[in-house]
Amino acid sequence: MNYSFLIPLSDLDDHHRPRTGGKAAALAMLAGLGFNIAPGLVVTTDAYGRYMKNSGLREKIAFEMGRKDFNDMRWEEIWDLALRIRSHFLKTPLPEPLKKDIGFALSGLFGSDPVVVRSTAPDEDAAAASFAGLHESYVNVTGVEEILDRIRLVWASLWSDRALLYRRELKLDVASSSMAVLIQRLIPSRSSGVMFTQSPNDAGQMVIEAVYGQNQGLVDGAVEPDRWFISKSTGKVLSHQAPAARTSMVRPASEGAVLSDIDPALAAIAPVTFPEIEQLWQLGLRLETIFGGPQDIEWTIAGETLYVMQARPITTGKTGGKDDQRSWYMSLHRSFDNLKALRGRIEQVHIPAMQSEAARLAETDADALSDRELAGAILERQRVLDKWNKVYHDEFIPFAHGMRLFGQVYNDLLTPENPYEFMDLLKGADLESLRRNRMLGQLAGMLKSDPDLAAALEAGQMPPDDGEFASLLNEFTSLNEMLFSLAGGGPAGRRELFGLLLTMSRQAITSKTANGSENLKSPRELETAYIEKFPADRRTLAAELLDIGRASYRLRDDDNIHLGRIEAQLRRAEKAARHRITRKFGIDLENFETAALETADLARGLTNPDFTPPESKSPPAEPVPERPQDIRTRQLSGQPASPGIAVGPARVIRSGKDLFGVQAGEVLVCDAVDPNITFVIPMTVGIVERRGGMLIHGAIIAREYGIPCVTGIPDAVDRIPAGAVVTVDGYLGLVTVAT
Amino acid sequence: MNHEEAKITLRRLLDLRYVGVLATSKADWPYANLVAFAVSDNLFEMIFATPRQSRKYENLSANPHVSVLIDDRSNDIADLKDAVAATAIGTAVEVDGSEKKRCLAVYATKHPHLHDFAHAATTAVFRITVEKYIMVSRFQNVVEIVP
Repeated sequence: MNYSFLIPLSDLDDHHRPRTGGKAAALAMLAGLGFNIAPGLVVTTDAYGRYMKNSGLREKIAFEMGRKDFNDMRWEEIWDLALRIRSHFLKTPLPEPLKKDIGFALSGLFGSDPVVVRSTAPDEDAAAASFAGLHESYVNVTGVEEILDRIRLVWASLWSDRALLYRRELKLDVASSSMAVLIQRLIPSRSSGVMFTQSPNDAGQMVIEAVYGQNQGLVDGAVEPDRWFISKSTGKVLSHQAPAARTSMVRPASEGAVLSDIDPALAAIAPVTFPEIEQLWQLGLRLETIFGGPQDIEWTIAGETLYVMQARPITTGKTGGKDDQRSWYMSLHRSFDNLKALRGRIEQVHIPAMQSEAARLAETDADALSDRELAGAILERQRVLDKWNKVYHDEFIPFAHGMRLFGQVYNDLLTPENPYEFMDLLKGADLESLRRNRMLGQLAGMLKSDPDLAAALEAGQMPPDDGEFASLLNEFTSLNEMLFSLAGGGPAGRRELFGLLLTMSRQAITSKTANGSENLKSPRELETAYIEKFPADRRTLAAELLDIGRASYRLRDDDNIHLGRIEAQLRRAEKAARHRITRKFGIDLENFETAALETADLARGLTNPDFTPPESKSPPAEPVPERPQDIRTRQLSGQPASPGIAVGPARVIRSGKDLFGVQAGEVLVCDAVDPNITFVIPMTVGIVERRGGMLIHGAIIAREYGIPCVTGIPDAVDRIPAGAVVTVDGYLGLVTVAT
Repeated sequence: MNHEEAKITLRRLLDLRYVGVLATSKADWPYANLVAFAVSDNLFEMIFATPRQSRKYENLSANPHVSVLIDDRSNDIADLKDAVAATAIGTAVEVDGSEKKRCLAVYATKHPHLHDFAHAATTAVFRITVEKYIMVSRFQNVVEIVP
């Protein structure tokens, strides 16, 4: 055996720790002291180093990491970065000599026995231990080739989005970071759990959590555990909290592990017996003595034997101040089962409720209300909007992870050259925004074929009430009040909308459809190739994963349209209030931007006879930053989000009203594309956006229309002059400004 | 990097780097070599010295249009992220008399150890009037800086 690359747990001692990581070193020590530890070996950091050096991966990761300052990255961009790095690992095989060395040892030690493949990072007993779960583990892996593949994926998880979020704490650095991998024989667990030898709330207590089957269900949060609090000094059980129901467990399947129903006979009794609790208590005390402090222990029981899977010092897990949102980002990772449940709630409960809420609010004509009633309506609408914004944050955004889960499964299986090939399988859904755009196209088409009507609108006249145009227009505005609100609402908004339709009717808008792929394979071919990669007995799961991915993709866009319909009702009531306050007090609020005056101020203004608008909240006119004359942006590097090359004058969007000036053939330059503003996309030839990521709205809609798109350009609207001819390179993620 | 940071970065680069790559050409044949340079306070005058018998002197006599590349790469993989490169584009003229004296004073501040070389009878002192700098950071972010 090449001891540079591989060390059996039985031969490992503490001086190997820098090359094997703390987790493996601790287990080896416990095995030496007679504890039951699953036999295994460690693929050392030297193997990682050799792989990185010989394959050129270190340079590729350095390139990916260097594309943009981390401080300018949003979490979507960090996810995408991790996806690209993982793809590099997937596409880069082990060098032959390394593969031979590791493969030979694996074959000798495990044969065809199933194993668990886990990370054991050199810093794991220090910084990384505070952020458990950053790196990946694989349960029930069989066969040398499979294990070798998982080793690369564990290495890749050194650069997971979770690890990247905590890069500073982990000292994640291309030049020096390293990872060892622990491979152990799979223990066929009857019950498993974790134990904290010191309760976070009472230093005199230990906490034991236990589930049936493999520990994965508990660690992932998929299975609710039984929990015991025991006296640290006597081992006496102080309390036992059983789960609401013991319904499921994780057990090894033909490949990996699956969540399955629990035998009803087992469900009636706790996963561990009192003698086993006493055994665990004694284990906890011994490990505290050996390691010199409170321990977080993973354990499992097979037959009558208690195994230690992991022991590490208890850490607080605190990751930053109250403004540190990283734990929320981490919580966005959802399991397949969790995503299925989320989808059910979103499609069957939330969206119908949002639709009926928007319809209910729309029934009330704000203009017909008394001042007091209008004030009440404004506050109610704000409450409703706040409620749905919270649902959006808590449930809709996490559901967007369905796209990523599908993308990861797809990439792991098919190892495509383009890590975003999976997007071609998701797109083509009938998005709400595309339906809206088709209606706009229809309205513009009517103007084109009816020059008299077009001339009347041009002259400022209203269309006849009983005509087909007015009927479709009414349907359009009732469904898209947010768009109408962006135009300013009321007669002015209507004029803006007519202006947009007239522009569209005069310009040759090419009929862009969902065909913006660089992929030569049709979606059908891609789908077949994907499904066929699964064994016959798992193809239903494959189809379900694809379905979740597609729903996630569609809802990512549709959610905002539904939310926009509710917001439009608030804006409509606010507009009525502004109008009345302007008339009543002679204070010009009509030109106030929505955000400039708080909703509560408007409600007060309607009911308080002495109302004066707070001076400090007067909206500073959105200043167009003075562009230095001596510095010109020539090229900006972002993320390629939709392939293709486009050249056109920049239409820089600073407010909603700017959208109504868009002309065919322009490149849209904006801060963030929201589905409520994507009605102009069919007229544009390219999109440049400050927000970054492949799965943001701008990227989704660009790919649907086959328009080149570059995202993640900081200060895009300030750095690209309006009207400048820009080239959008959607292959490389570059925006070049003609100078 | 925003516009303000771009200016600061350029000044720091020009202050800290001692040598740049001067590109000249003659009869459509480009030629690049290292030169010790110094810049004026406003950054748009660049001074260097060269022996009159050098190839670059010969080229400059034929074609005064030049570019100079100044960068801070360290031949490390982190260069893709960290290195900054600025290319000055301008026109070089050999200076003499009081102008030569002024340019040599600028040059001497940065390169006191090259005093003898710069003042040698066979050394020509050139001043490049820089029309613009093209500065690249993070591999592909490019700005142009003009006087």
